[in-house]
Amino acid sequence: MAFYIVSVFRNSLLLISASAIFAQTPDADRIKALERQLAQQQRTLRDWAGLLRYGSDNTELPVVAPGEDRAVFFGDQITEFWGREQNSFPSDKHWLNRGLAGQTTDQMLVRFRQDVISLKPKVVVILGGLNDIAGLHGFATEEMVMDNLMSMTALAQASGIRVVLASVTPVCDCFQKGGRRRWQERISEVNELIKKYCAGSGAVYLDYYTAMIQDSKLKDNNLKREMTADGVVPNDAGYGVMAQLAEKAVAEALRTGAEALKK
Amino acid sequence: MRFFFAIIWLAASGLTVCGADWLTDGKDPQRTNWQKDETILTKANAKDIRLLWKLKLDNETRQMHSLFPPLIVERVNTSAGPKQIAVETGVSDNLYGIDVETGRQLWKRHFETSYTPPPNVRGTGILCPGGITATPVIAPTATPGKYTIYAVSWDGWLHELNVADGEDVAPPKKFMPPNGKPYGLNLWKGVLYTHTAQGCGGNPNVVYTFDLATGKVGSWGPAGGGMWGREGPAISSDGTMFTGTGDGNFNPEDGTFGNGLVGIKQNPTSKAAELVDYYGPSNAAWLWKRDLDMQVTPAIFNYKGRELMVDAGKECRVYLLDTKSVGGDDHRTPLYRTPLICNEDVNFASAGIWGSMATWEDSKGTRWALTPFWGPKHSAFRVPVENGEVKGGAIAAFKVEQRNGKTQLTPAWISRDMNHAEPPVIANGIVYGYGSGEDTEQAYPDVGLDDVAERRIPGSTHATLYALDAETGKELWSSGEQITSWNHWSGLTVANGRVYIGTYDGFLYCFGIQK
Repeated sequence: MAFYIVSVFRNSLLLISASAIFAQTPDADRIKALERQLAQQQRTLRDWAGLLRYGSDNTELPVVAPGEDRAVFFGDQITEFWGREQNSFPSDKHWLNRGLAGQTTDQMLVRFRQDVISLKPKVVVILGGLNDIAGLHGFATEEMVMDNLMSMTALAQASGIRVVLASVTPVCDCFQKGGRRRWQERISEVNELIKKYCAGSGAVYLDYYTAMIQDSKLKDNNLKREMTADGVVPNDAGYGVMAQLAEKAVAEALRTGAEALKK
Repeated sequence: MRFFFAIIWLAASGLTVCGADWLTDGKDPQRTNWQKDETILTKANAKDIRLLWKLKLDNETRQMHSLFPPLIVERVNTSAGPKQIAVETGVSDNLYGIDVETGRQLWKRHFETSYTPPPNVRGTGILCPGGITATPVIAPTATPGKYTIYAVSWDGWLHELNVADGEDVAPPKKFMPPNGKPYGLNLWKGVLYTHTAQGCGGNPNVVYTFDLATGKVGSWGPAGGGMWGREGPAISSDGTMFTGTGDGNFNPEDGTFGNGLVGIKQNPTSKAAELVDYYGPSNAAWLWKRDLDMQVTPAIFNYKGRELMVDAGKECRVYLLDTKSVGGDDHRTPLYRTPLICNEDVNFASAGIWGSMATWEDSKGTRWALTPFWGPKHSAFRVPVENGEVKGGAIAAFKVEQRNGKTQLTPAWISRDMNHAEPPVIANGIVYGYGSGEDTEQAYPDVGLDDVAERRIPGSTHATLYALDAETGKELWSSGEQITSWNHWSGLTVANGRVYIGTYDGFLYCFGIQK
């Protein structure tokens, strides 16, 4: 949040300076670009958690039908863009997509009640952390990511929702050289922490990472080129692999949930 | 010979024999805001519109309220002969009669009251200014040239006055509790309708009906949301009054109708006000959570043998509804719902649709629906004709059309930018709209929520009136800097070649074509 306030303030000053300078040497495009950037940052500041994205849609959802195995897929752009290409997000399974591009796990935590708990799903699949690692909203340690994921898990479990915690998906520099190498080791570290936490918390670990890297023997590995078009977001092939794994994980969560109820 | 002298006398008096009246807020009981009888102002001469006069009235402002839209009677018999009279309402329980030819005040009526707001109730502040808050309504009497004003004063009494001189034509009658904050009165077949909001004076938010023949009052409350459509209710052909409801739970099973729309009718036998229909948007829970009231006066019109209605709210969508069944069988399904037109940021105070809707039909039989809105246009809203970037507000026009067997609102044009666009009026192919210039912010980064007039008045600028081509939204004329003050919760009146707007500083402006 502080990162954004500073950024908005800085851009406001830039805009004022630019207006003064370009009043003498007009450069309307530059000013307009700064205005757009400032407007975007102000919007983010006003709706830090992204509650506006799905808030209205959520209230229009039908009540969960008896026997319906509603699952919410909750995350960032990796979730939101699932279905952007030809492969649609499998909503016929009563899966709801509540991904929001660019979000870090602290933002996801704030909107967890509105976009997950209030929808009364049986299962939530949480996929987050990639943007934290990328430092999109400032530096975040692996422990900070885990704090947020654990809080979401605790909230869900307290509401009777089974949790699937997904590994952070791999990235590659297949299309852009050098930029993402520094993320890769940290992705592996976060995934190790998630896996360990799942083992002790009753959450199901969904390992997208292993299925999407080139060589599982390497610690810091690349996302398979054939599974992405930009090095970060999966393409149809990537989402196809993810869908199969997700289906198994949701089924396991439902099964263990049902067993827990019997006990 | 007497007829000949009458013609000479009428010509000398400068009156138009066949003119246009504006007897109620929104022009008619359906609140169309369509002045069908205007012939003087045309698209061809709109560029020549000038300030004809402005009149300073001695009305004392209350909070941000000052003057309400004037009502116009084209031909009133007065002791000085027939006159065209504007009846202007001032929030401090004042009514003024104004000779529109000269811009001079003919009479003033102040409603004296001993009412004092009780302590510890919502009785003050911007939302509860006190004083008269409902634009009155005027009705002709059985005597040609004689008209009666019906007005509710701050203390809740109904006054009946002669338009010619402002004198009582009947003793005041008790209508509602003091400080109830009623909105624009509507009159339909001998029954006055209004509704209240904001819980002013500690009163519940209810619909009131007043039966003029018997003096019986009916009331009905939505138990969950005040009703604050600026022009009061709109009335359908079967006498049902419709209005949007403000923030509250929408749960008809519990008798709560917040963030929706209700239809109320007077029972002809008991004179009670009864709920006959209702509608709740499918995302009413979201509207309530985000303070996105359905607080707009609807507009009712005929379309291909059906009676339809458009309404809206702060969320910034327009709903198309059938007055015979406003939400379908489940009361949640409109005929059509537009995408978001504005309010991308979900702002509860300075964006969205406020005030009232408007509708008209052109010579080719195309039915139009118009809405004003505040704030920037939604980035995803596509309109065939745009008239520049919209930042502070604009008017959006839709065509009512049938496509694939369904009736819908098709975006047609969006106007130029206006600083808080207010409800438009359509007259003779021209849309009159204005940006109020009001500062509507209610929350500030440094202090949080602080909705007080002391902050908003200094931030308000001035109103600007625009004449737009009703088919394209193209600007034909603007008042520019001529209006030096702003207004709050007011509106336009158009009649007989004149466009009226009142401002916070107590001036009534009259624009038209110089003879």
